[in-house]
Amino acid sequence: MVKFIVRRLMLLIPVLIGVSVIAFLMLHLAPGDPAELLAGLEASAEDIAALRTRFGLDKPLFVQYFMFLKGLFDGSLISLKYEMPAASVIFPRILNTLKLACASIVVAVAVGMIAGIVSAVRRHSLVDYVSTTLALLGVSMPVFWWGLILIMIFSVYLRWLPSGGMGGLRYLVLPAIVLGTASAGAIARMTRSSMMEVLKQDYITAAKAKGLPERLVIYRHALRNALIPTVTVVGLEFGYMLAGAVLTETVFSWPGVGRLIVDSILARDYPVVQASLVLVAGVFVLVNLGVDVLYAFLDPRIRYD
Amino acid sequence: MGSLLEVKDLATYFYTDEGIIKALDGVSFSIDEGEILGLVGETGCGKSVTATSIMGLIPSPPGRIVRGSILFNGRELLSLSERQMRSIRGREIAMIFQDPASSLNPVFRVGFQVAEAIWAHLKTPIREALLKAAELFGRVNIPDPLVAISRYPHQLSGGMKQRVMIAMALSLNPKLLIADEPTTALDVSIQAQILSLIKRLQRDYGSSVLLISHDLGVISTMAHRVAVMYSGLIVEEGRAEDLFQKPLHPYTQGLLAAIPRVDEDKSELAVIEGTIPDLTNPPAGCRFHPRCPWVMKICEAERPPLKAVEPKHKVACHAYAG
Ligand SMILES: Nc1ncnc2c1ncn2[C@@H]1O[C@H](COP(=O)(O)OP(=O)(O)OP(=O)(O)O)[C@@H](O)[C@H]1O
Ligand SMILES: [Mg+2]
Repeated sequence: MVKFIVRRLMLLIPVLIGVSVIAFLMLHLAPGDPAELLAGLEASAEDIAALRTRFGLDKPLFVQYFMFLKGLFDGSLISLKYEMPAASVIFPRILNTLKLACASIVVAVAVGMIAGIVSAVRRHSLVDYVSTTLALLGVSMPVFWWGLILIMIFSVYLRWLPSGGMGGLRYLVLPAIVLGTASAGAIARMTRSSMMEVLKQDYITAAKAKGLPERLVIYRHALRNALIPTVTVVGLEFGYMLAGAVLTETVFSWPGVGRLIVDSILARDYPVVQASLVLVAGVFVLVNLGVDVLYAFLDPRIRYD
Repeated sequence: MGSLLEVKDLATYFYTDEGIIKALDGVSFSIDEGEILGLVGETGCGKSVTATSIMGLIPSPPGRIVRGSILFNGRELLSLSERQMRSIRGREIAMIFQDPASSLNPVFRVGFQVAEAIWAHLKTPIREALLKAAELFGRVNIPDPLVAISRYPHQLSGGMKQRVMIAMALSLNPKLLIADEPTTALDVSIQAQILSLIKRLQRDYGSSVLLISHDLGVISTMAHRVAVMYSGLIVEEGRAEDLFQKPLHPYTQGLLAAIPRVDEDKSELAVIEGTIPDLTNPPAGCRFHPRCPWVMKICEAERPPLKAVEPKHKVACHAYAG
């Protein structure tokens, strides 16, 4: 198992190098002179020249790349907008995003898996139809609209929960539900279909033929197998929450990394954009590693190959 | 010795979108204590449905047992509650499946899967049950039982997996063992080993066996008595020697004629004129009549009953009416 994790960790290195190269090249692939791009439209020739030296844009490309990497870690990569190390701008934002994503995935897994299991076990029943319809609605619900509806009900009319911002657990509830809804739908659909597939297998009949109670056949023998494909979806959804929470963050004024990236792009704060991409990618691959480990834990055929 | 299992007029239908599949439509046979009954027939004739009906494991929907009776040890299985049925499954009637690769759960250790069967009925602590599993592994000739119990299914060969299934089936010393094509998925060399293992254990434990196969070779080496199934019905039943030496039903005669010579190792059921009837819309009268070389007027109209025409030899055919 340790060997397995070490091997997966090694695989992360090329991925991170790839992402950092792409993030780095972003500035250089855009048409025009990077220094002009950084300086903005109204900059004078001197400003541009000063920027060029400050960012080492006159150096060879690969030297610049290593400077970029170094800057990421030692704080010499400075945000143009905030005038402080890009990493320090990004780090708290990533934590906020993680907090929201964790809460959302908990909601999504709890709701999605229960709905999926019940659907599969009692397929073609009323519960199944209701749950599959809700799951479909969930995956296709526009985040903006859904977020505003919830704000209207729970913040404006009922006044139970805050409509935005960050603070205690209460602030987390609505954004977590909104961000988790689509994932809950996706997880429910996956759980249902994989559970139904598993329930058809011979080893389920064999487990029943041993005289095991239905409950154990479903929750021990079937679920353990059905979880394997479901975990993949959970991992993907979690990744999507890390990178694609901009809409939810915007609706609820949640200071996450998604909004930071969008704001930085609009403000031409290239160092922050570049550094965010690398760091988000880093978190992303770590999540993937987590999924792989969980996978191996669930499926001995992977663990022992 | 009395009958352990008596199946009478058993009918199991599947209500599908394409229509009602009459997989079993009046199956009757019995198994005595300590006896091996071979159930043969072409693919799709309802052998597995017979087994799952006895186990009470017909998937429902779409399946349902619509009539008949299954008397086991004097008890009517069809009137038992799910709870009572569960205490019989695995304990009094155990089953071995066709494909050992798919009938063991891939994510649990094989020892645990056997121990679980013991625990389910006796509530034996799992550690103790595991030791019992290891002991059973020894009996079915799995090498290094104490190591083998902690293996996962994918780490074992097909033959070993089937031995695990047999160990599991025997763990509670069942009165009846249902073996549904226990060797079909295995290599020919392993087949013989598994069959002789089943035969030896059957003798040691004194269990009765319902041995299902489409392989007449397997049936002839194993069974005391044979029932021949055709399209959801038993068409002939008798002692193995009688049935093989003097088959009465034209279908059985066709089957035996279709066996390749003994020097060939495969003896799959092969060519008989015509096709297997559609179970949704079976032929009226005798279901075999469209393929029967002896077909008479009455065959198209009336279903022949299964009745003894010689001592201990029953056949369902109008040709023996007189
Ligand atoms: N779950 C099910 N739903 C619908 N039809 C079914 C189901 N199970 C079995 N049947 C039908 O019942 C008939 C008998 O099937 P069964 O599996 O008993 O055949 P078999 O004699 O065991 O064949 P084989 O030698 O291939 O195992 C088939 O026509 C099959 O289509
Ligand atoms: Mg079968």
